[in-house]
Amino acid sequence: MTVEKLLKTILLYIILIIGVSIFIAPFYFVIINSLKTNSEYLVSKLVLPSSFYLDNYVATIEMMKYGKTLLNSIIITAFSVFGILVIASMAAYKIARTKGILNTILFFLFLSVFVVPFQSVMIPIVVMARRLSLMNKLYGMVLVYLGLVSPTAIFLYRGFIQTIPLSLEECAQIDGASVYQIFFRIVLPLLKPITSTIIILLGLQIWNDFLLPLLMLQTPKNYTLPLATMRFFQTYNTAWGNILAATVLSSIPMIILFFSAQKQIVQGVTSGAIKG
Amino acid sequence: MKKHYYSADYFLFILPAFSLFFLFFLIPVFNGVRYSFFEWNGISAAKTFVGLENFRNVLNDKIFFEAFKNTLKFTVVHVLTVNLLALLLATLLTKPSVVGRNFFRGIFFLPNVLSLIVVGQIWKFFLGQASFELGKKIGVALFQIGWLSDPHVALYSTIIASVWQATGWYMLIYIAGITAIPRELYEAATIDGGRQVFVFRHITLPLLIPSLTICIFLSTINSLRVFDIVYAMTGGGPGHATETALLNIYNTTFNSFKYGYGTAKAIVLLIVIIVVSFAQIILLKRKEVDL
Repeated sequence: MTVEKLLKTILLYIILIIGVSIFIAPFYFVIINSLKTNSEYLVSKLVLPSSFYLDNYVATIEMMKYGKTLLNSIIITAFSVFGILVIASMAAYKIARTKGILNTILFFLFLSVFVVPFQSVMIPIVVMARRLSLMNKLYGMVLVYLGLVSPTAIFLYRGFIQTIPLSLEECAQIDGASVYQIFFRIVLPLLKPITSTIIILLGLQIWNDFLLPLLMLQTPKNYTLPLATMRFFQTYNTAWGNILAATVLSSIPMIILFFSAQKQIVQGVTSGAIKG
Repeated sequence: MKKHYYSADYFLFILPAFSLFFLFFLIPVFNGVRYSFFEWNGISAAKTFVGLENFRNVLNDKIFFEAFKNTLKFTVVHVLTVNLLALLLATLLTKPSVVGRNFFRGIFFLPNVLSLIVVGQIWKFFLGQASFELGKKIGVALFQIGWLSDPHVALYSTIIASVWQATGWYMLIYIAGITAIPRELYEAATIDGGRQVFVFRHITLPLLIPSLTICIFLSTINSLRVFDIVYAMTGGGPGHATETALLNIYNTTFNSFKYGYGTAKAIVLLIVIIVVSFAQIILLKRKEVDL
């Protein structure tokens, strides 16, 4: 029995290790080849580089304006997520605590965003952004994200607020607190757990979004990281050393973030997906 | 507090979110329907009303039809593979005997934090550049096919990349589902002498139906609107072999400047997505009740 168990465990580990190797292989080949000179690359894509050749990286950082693009992505993601947290928690609070036909209608209107995917309204959205002169502007992107992504946060916040007992707010009201004091002093601090879930889910989504930046941002100085990376691939489509360096550079911020907050990210994704 | 009425602060709290939502979602939905009845290049002020002609053209558009077929093929293969793989990994990684579970989970989830553009490029390199040499070296002919150049294979290459990226996400949902199953049930089944396959079939699977519902639903929706990964890997080529519905809509609208026609196609896609999602929810919900 124990021998059988031991064999089973060993088999399990072999399966897992093979699985992990297959999953990591593409990363591995990208990284080793990004460190090769062009002639080394042409000789073989499988062997390790003879030395750490960093010129691909130095050149690529300059060519894709890495610093500027990184900053654009950070600005867009940070402002969008922060804005969404503010306006969505406010709206969700009232939606969760009010009864009435109008309130229900509003909630279902917000929910309709889940049924109608972004892609089927992207064309009129671009037309609207053009009409409001929001094209090719970082704050334009932020405003569109606020409108389109808030419903997800409203949905998650509303579900969470409904689990908070009313008594706390009632006590505060008897003590003479205003609606605003109740919301900002009492309700908002209680929303912390779901807020971190929302930050992770929406942060990932906005950071990695490609389609909206592709449609709205036209000049390289405004590009986000995924868009700049894609444009770089298209421009230098045979310079593999640089392309692979760009691939690594584009992934690094999220990979660092993932390893430094793996527990929170895994938790956030799990709880968000199940509630959503 | 028990009185729920629409006071001024009700509107004040809702207004910021609602006004942006109205501007960038509700009006566009309305306009999308409107544009689909017009012929319009997206720039000039003049729109020509053409009635249902755009929709008639959509139904006769051979390339769009092909793109739709590609999307459906992509969806079926992607959904099956991703869910089987994720379920398998989740089962393995919830076994109490596995040490370093979090490490393994982390690795399988890792591709998920990357943008699909990068994922597409990683696989474009791996399948288009490194795989041939790898196949020659280890003597596996499969590695040496034209992953991206052969029109019969290219779509499957994009599916490989998307499965690699998405599996970890669904794995986490299944893990959460499995972890929520009370341990006593397993203990009871083991005492009864149930084999592992039996236990999986009669305990794990029935109790996992809610997770299965979520995962199949989400993976279907995401595949029906696949864009980034194909755009980065093949751009729809060779020929139109990997062109998906959304890629076709994008090209029609923003490269050929047929805004009215493009929105008509987008509405057709939307209807398909809505029908498929409702059908799935109804079917899977019924399964939940049965079990």
